[in-house]
Amino acid sequence: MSSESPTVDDYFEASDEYDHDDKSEIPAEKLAELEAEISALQSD
Amino acid sequence: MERRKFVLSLGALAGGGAAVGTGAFSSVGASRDVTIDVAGDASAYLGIKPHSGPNGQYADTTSSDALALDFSGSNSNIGNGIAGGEGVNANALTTFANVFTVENQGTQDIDLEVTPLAFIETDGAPFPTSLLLVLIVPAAFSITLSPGQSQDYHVVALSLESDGEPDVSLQDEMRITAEEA
Repeated sequence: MSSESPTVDDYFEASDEYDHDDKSEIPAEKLAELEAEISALQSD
Repeated sequence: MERRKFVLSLGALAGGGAAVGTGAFSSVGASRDVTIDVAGDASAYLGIKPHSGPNGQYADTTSSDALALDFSGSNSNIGNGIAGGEGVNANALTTFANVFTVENQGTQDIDLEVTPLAFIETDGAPFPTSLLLVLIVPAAFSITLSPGQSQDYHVVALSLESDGEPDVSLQDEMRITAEEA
């Protein structure tokens, strides 16, 4: 198994059918929590 | 002179073969078995199945044995693995580790991809009072699996409700693609 570790931004980039402007409605601290959660899952 | 000898000896070999062989035929008709089953997601060559852990209960199975992520009140595992819950909490970040697994149950290496990995729903722009973000989280976006190898997928849901009333939900599709590596 291989490949790069995606970031939160990568998840949005991979979802072209969604309006990326919606992401701007998410408070920065919530995005930080999300990033930490993803990182924890990927490191398990 | 030498060339002529050579040609003659070839002719002798070909003639001998025809005389000795017993398989000369004008036509052959033969029947052979062909068996192809269409399997459910879990047992197909590309195995798509609920994770064997407790959060695999959120990966429900449709009437056609296809996997479907269902974090709602319609999940058929409610009462039989899920103890009554019918959705994620409002204004919360909810993590479900190990929800479903994709396994290479074929014969050669595959490149596996799931898209999209992010789903967003709001109750309207530019100032939504409700927002639901769901991420499908693999170990990596693009993964190569050898036969017998599998990849687990997690789900993270972020719900924001400024008016306190949960009034967004999300229904969409993810696409699972496997190509010969």
